[in-house]
Amino acid sequence: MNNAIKEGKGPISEAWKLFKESNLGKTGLVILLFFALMAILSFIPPLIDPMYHPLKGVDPSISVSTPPSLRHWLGTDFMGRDILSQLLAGARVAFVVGISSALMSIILGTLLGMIAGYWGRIVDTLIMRAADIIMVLPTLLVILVLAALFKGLSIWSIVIIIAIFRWPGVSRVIRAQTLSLKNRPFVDAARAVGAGHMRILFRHIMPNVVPLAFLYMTFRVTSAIVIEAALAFLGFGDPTTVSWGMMLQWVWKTGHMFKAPYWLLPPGICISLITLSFYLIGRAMEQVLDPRLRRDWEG
Amino acid sequence: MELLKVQDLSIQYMTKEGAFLALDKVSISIQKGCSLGVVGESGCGKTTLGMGIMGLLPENASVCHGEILFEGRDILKFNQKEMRRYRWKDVSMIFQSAMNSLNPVKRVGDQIKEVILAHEPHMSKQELQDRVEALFRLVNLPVERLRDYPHQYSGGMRQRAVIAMALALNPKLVIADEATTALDVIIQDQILKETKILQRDFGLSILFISHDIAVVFDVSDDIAVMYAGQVVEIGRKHQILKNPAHPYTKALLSSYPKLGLEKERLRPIPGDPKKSLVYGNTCRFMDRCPEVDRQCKANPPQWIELEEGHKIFCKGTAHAIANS
Amino acid sequence: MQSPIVDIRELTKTYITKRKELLVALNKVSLKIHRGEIFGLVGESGSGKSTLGRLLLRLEEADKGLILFDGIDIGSLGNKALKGLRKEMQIIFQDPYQSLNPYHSVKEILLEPLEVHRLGSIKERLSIIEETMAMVGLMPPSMFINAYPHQLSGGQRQRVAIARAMVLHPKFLVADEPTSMLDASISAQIFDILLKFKDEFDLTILFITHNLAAAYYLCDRIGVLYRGHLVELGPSLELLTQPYHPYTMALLDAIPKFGECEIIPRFNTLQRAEAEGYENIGCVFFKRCRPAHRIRCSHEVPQLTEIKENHFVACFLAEELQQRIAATGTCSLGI
Repeated sequence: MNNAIKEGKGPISEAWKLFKESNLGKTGLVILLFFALMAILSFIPPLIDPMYHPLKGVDPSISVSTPPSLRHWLGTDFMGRDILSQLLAGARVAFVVGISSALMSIILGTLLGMIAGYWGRIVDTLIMRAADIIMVLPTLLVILVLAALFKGLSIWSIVIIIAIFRWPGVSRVIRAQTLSLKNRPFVDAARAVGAGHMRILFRHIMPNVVPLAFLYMTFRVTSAIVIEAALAFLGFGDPTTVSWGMMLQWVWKTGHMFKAPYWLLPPGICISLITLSFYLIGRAMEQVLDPRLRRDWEG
Repeated sequence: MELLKVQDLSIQYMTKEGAFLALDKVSISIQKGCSLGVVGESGCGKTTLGMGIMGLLPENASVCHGEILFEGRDILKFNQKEMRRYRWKDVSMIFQSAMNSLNPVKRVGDQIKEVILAHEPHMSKQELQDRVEALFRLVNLPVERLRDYPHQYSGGMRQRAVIAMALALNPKLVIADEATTALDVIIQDQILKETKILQRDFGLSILFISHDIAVVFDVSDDIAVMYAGQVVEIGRKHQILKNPAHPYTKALLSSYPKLGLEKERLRPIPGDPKKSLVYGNTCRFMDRCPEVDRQCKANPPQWIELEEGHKIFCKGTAHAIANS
Repeated sequence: MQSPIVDIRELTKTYITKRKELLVALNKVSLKIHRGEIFGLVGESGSGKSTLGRLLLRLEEADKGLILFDGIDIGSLGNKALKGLRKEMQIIFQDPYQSLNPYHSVKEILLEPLEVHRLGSIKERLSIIEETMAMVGLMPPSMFINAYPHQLSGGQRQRVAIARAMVLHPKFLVADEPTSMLDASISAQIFDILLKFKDEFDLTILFITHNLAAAYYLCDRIGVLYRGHLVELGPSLELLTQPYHPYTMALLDAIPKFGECEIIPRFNTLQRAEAEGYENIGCVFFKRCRPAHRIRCSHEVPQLTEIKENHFVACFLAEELQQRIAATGTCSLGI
């Protein structure tokens, strides 16, 4: 045999190898790691000095918004709270909100998409109609209405609601994939061997569908973060959490939009950068997923 | 003079893992009005050969040695204008998957007209219509179907349409790369027969590339057998049939089930067809060859002429004596 | 005599195409497969041969007709019994690139049948797998066991597919065009493997193919399908040296013969173009049949009748054509 076969080089490790070669992916990953670092570091400032607490910490000697100084590297907000620690806390919120709601919507969407595609008929129709209805509703508006009705929403309610609104997009794509996979010979082979529906769904179809779901997750994260930021900015966020959107709301509400660039710019830049990083990662993943399906040169 | 003469052609591909030599000093020639069949398994380079002659090599491929002489002129030295004229007017190609050649959203007749217009922009509408209708009749397609779309055609009809497109500009040489591989055996047979008639009636030269040795033997006058980027045996059809000399040719022929009164047990060649990045100077078939010996490991193979027009790329002179 | 391992009676399967037309994939096909034989099912695209294979494994349900496996009507089996049956019959497919899950290693692929049927301990399973890998020539097993499909060549993947099918030691294997996408020398290796299993495991094989020469090489008996109808059935040597049905003759005429490409075929039973103006009643091959009877063949459906011992044909003109061949060497004159 003249083919050298390396041990355990599954499609996943191959994909990772390809991903690492992509400049887009690497850039995205680096930015993401930077924010992850920020999120981790967010626990530190209050430990140094209670005045650095993003929400409750007030510098006793400051009661207005001040530009960057040695004590406050990014300056303070209108109440004398440290902007940097707010920024770090915002990173934490972005990750939590972004990733959890994306994860929830992906898991929900993937499961429902697989089930719809695999079982077809009534189940498929029901799930897809539900998806259609939800997709048609304007997410932000509905959340705003709900927020107004319930007089504000906690951060976890926001996460869950975003997840509920976002699963249809994924499920549609996963359903299409499932439909095509259902008829592949390897699925037929599994049926011929005697595999039951559960086994086929979770051991055969799911691994083939997860990469696509993962790809979609990167898009979902960005939209979740943006929605949360928008909510917070409009004043409907969770007042007990500090997010970048919340920071922007404070800047605006207190009339500092044009007076305090050191306060306005950091959260805005962070939102853009984190969205960019997920987008780049998503793009790199697309490149990884695609050519693997093609055979390379054969003569 | 030969219509086409490929001399010591070497083509390499740049891949992620390094340079891959797909063709290694390949030489073939086709006379006017004759057909040459190139047969080999996957990885042997036959498709690269066809693409090279058409000037359709992908970006990561480059010719690192040799020449391709069409009517005495080296096409590798053509400028863009000469290349455009050469491609499709002098030489045209029929690909395996007709679906790849036919645009699904355009009517078949229109596609052929487009091809003709690209090279002869001054044709009148009537002349164009006449030409396309004549082409359809040539390949036994009903003229009424000119205005249909590819998906309305059956597989055999699509392949015929692709052949019509290849013949649109009266080329001197047609390269057919696995042209009938995807077709049912009865349609394949019809198309091969029609191709032979066209060849005879129009003095067309054909380069017929396939992995299907039976088809190649049916339709070609001369045969070249390729393995791992090299030609290993070349000769007239009856010479090779009567006296297949190269061990790979012999092995290939004996791994093919044939209809006959006695069922011979097939002797498959062990292992997979070779395709690796690095080749040495020694014979590439060595590790699978049933006739390998010490001489093979020590000396590189050489060209041995068994009789006029029939030669093999193999070890020493023992062959020539034993088999002639 | 032992009862046949597979007994198909009047099997019918129809599909409704996207254009809401009725497509009859199999039309009352009946045949028996004997224990230990290799039965060749030959047909072109649209003949229904793959559909038959799938129906035998109950990957799809037949519309009408009966399939008896070892005397049991498989259509009447409930899920549990059907699963048990799966141990006895298996299938390998045409496309080696699509018949293995790209996310499973060879080990996982081969373990699956054993896991599904809960056979053997972990250690026993591993040794069964290695044994089977050795039988299909994936040697040494340690080299391949952790490989993933994309690392293997077409021939190697097909071997894995065969190993997967054989891990449960089934009695019956449906091989649906297993070599159509492989090179000739690799196909020959696969043939060898199938023959080896037949000899050592007393395996019965249904070999589905469009390649008459391959069927001749491997099979004891051959059945010829044309558009869902079984038109001829007989011992392979006899069928190929003395065909009775004009379609079989047309297939034989069409096979490339390593020689001169004759313009006028030997049997010459095929019309160049389909005859126009006839309805779809009568013999399924009528529209393409050169020697056909204008009236009888276009209105009546010929039944499969035994024309010689163990040799069946569905044609009204069978005797007449044999006489013509004996006299003139061909069935029709001219192109």
